[in-house]
Amino acid sequence: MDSLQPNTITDSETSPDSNHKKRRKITHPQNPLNLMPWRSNADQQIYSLRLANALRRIPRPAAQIRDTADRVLAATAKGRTRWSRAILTRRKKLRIKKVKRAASGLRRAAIGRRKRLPAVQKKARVLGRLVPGCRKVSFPNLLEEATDYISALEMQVRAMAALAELLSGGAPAAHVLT
Amino acid sequence: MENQFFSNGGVPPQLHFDPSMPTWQSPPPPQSSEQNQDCFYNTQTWENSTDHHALHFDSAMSSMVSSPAASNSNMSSDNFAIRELIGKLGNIGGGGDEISPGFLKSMALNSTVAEFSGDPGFAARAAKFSCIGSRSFNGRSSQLGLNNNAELTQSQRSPSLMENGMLLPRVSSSPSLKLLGSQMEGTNSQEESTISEQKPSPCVNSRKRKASSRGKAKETANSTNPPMDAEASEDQNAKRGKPNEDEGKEKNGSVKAEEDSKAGTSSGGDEKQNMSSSKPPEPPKDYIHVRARRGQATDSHSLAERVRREKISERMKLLQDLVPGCNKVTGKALMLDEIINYVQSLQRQVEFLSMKLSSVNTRLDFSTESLISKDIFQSNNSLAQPLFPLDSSAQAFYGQQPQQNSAIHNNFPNGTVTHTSVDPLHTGDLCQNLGMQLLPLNGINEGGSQFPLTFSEDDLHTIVQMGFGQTANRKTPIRFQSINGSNQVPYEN
Repeated sequence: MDSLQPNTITDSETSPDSNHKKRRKITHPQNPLNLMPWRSNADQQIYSLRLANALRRIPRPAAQIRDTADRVLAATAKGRTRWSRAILTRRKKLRIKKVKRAASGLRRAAIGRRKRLPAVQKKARVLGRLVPGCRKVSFPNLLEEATDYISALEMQVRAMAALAELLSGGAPAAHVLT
Repeated sequence: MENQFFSNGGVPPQLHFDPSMPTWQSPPPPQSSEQNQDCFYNTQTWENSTDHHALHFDSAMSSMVSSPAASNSNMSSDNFAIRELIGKLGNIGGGGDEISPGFLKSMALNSTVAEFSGDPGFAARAAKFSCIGSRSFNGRSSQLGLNNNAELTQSQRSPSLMENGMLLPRVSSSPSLKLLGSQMEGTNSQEESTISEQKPSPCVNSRKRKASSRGKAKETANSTNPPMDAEASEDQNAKRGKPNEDEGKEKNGSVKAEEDSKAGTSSGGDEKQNMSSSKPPEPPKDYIHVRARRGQATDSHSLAERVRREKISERMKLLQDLVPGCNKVTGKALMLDEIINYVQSLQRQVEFLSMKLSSVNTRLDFSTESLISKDIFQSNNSLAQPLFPLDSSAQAFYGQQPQQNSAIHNNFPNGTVTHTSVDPLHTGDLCQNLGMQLLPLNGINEGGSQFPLTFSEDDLHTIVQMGFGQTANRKTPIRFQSINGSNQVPYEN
């Protein structure tokens, strides 16, 4: 699946540092979600490679690493999922605005307490906030996005841990991959 | 008696119908016994139920095929009729209004089947299925005469039930129904027509028994058969979300209140409780069930609701497998809690790792640029080695430890790209990086620091382990070792 649109990803990866904030075009068609790709070794290695390349290029601010990692993760997803597209298209300014909006919305909901907020729906909203770009998504789609997002996050954690181990020289422990 | 029909008549004609059917044949045989009905039925998951419904339908179809064939010894025509019937089933979604004329044909077919088997339930089943394929029988009603009223009533119920099941998708009163209708008619209609043609034919015998056994585990074979057949036929028609709906409706027939309430809101826990509670208390009277179902089936909301619930439960199951510790939790709310916690913990891990990576990177910055490039080269190269052909200079670079390399990468032939997902563009990109990095590194490493070499070995080990050590064990978070001085001598492996 990573080979679907290598052009876009490769081009963005090899461009200069400014590409980190650059949008990536998603040109491939929508494929049904498949959880297995995120668990494959190939994906993890590809992600690690891309992440290493990206990290090599950025000018070392720590705050960007998380965003870079997320972007690379979203790029690896090839835009098939909503959250990956949201990650690729989000900007820092918008995120701040969203955070403010979410906070105010919470206050309003707490004040105007309605019975029409069953626990499941509340939790669904919380989950929608956690998964990027999935705030106003229907519940079944939200579950699907969450499934893919969880797999991707796990892969990201594995790859980043391995990379950190490599770069820090703690190699022997790196082979313990959960 | 029906079993005899199954064993004899059903198999031969359908074998040539669809080669994929053998897979269906496997489940039915174990279900043949009456004792297994209840346990089998109750333990059914929704997905299995869908298959079984189709199987029931197939068995019913096979029974119909076998009986007329045996009675009239006119197999070709009957099989052809059945084929048409099955084909029409796929198109039921678009042709519900023809059910009433086909109703007569169903009667005719009922008579044929009944006279052959002598089992009213069997005839009723056949009638119901014939009702489904009413259109196909338009030209074939000649041979059959009407039978007793019991069959008539059964057949009446079945077409109406099927009607509801089939008409509802066409009722576009609600968007969800439109979606259902589109699902049935647009995307799947053609497939269903073709698949339904194939499906019923091969596994008819076992299906039939299965339908009878599964459908109404509660009741006797007679009473259970017709509704199950109708249900199976409906499922056959719906083929996707609807079969589950029908079955669920059938089960909940006695519990009308549940159905009504389901039309509106639904909470995960309630839904699951409804599902579970509705399963056991199936009343013995299928016909009453049918009536109740019919009333509920006409409620377009309940159909849509059921489809929605099925989708949600499907996804929740996937999530349950994904999130550790969710197996003991039941109910949507608790599972969502677990999922939210897990996502938050994963995101926190990512944050932690990113901070760690940044610290590692900054520390590397302090060293010479060559060292940084070496590290990156190490990480890149080790990461890339499984994926890309090893550059000749890189091989020379790692020449001091070729054995380990080859041993580690025995699964990765040096000259080939192992992962198919890595396309040439990736290869080209990363090979460029490798090439860029190799030149300075070669120049630097001739100075002779063992650091990169051991790093490479460690990296190789790491990468190999990373590649091979992928398991589904996500419970243990990544162990974060203390960051030793990267410039120090690397550890022994």
